[in-house]
Amino acid sequence: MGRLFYLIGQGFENVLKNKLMFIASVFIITTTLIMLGIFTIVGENANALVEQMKSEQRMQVWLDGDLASDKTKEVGEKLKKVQGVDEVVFRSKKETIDNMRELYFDESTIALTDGWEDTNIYATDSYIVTPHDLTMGKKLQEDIEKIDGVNRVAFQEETFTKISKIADIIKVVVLIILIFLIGLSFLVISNTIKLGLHARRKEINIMKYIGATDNFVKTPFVIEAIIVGLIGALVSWLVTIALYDIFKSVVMSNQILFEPLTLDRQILTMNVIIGTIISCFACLSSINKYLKV
Amino acid sequence: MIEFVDVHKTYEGGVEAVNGVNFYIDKGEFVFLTGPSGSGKSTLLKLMIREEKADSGQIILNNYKVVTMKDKHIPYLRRSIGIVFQDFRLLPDKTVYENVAFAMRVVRSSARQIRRQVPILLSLVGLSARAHNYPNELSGGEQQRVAMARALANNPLVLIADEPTGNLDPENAWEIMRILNEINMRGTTVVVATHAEDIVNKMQKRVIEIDKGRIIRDQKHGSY
Ligand SMILES: Nc1ncnc2c1ncn2[C@@H]1O[C@H](COP(=O)(O)OP(=O)(O)OP(=O)(O)O)[C@@H](O)[C@H]1O
Ligand SMILES: [Mg+2]
Repeated sequence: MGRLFYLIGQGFENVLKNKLMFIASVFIITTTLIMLGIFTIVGENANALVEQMKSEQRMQVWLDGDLASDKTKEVGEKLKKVQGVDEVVFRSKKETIDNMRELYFDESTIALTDGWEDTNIYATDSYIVTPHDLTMGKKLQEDIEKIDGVNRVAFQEETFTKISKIADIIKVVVLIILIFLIGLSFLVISNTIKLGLHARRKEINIMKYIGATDNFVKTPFVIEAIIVGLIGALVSWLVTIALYDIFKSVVMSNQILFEPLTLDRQILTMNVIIGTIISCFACLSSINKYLKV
Repeated sequence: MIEFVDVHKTYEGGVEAVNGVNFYIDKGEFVFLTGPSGSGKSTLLKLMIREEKADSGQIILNNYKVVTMKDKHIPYLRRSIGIVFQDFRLLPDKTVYENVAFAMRVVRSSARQIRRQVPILLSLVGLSARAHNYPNELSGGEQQRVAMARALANNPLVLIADEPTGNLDPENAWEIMRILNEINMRGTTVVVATHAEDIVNKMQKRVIEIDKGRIIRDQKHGSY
């Protein structure tokens, strides 16, 4: 136990002996982890957007007001036969209105919807049509509108596709930067350890004559690497969360729908794990290379 | 205790530093290794601690098969050997006390053991008063005595010294020899490679003389 404390103390001593390189190591690992955080957040949001987009891509086929029920069924059969239609589900006027009430009104405003069922202004019976392929929405819309008994087809334009494309581009760019930064982290940290080994080469040499095991010699350096990884993880986590908050407030003020995500804890865990792994790998590769044990 | 059987060692440059060496050193012996510069004395000591690996032959030391043992066992071989060098090899940023304590810590001694043992070792080499000085505040002879205290820290069965008096004036050299002799009296096997003619002559210990990597003399109570 005392031995472990001793080795941890040695790890901190390494840090103090080599402050500048230590700071450089923490800086680069922090930058890397921030990029990783951005990558994760953009990825998660893009996934959320795609999910949202899929539901938006469903078409709501509004029928003429007060269409007879056999006529309504006939339209349903016709819809199923249209090329490119995957699924057709009937949604009654009442269901649609109830749904709207739930989404857009609360107890204080619900009275406004009184009597909506009695007119065809707010809703009519409808079919929810899922297209087979998201890209053929426009043509499908035209085909469906030709069917007798169909009033209008509601269909979101392709803004979400565009957003998801932008997210993809950001993801690729960040990924490239991330790979570059991981490489750079590796380089800087292994050089830090190499300098530490050099500064302690006399001591290490003596330790080995005395009969120190490889692990005893290596442990202080691994502890130094863990310290680098942990501090990097903590700092990058704080920065990522701050950046995300700023980003959220900007996006919210532009009134764009944005999935609220609770990624805080995941990002901290991820940073600790990835940061420590990168740092320890760089350390061990450096030790095994420069320490002829 | 220490046995060499037909040991050969050729360095990468092609120098045949050890060329068929056989000897047996019993527990508790005191042995001088002598011979001209470049004859292979240091190489013999390096082979004992597996700093260099013999090309062929057998070396048995404290029951370790030194030539064939796995690398991961080398630390345990070395813990059974105390080593002293001509250039002391102390850590300049650690005090005398810490230099000795350091050796004990490396081999997992407890803090209590360290507190008990280090003062005993320092008094053995006559440096109790200098425990909290740094190496650069000590004379060469005192520094070498610290190195000896460190070599003894883990109660080695064998103490090997490569020209321990090479950097010292005669007076300090004799002090080192007196301590080595005392250590030997307590039962530790001592092997000293040296050029110190008068010391070898006066002490009348076993002398193994090397030339060009071969033993040319092995004498029970020899001179240089
Ligand atoms: N690492 C090495 N690589 C190549 N040759 C070496 C190496 N170490 C020693 N030698 C050579 O091996 C021979 C024996 O060297 P060694 O150091 O054992 O001699 P020595 O008897 O200790 O000499 P000295 O009395 O000067 O210390 C010498 O010719 C030396 O040049
Ligand atoms: Mg020599």
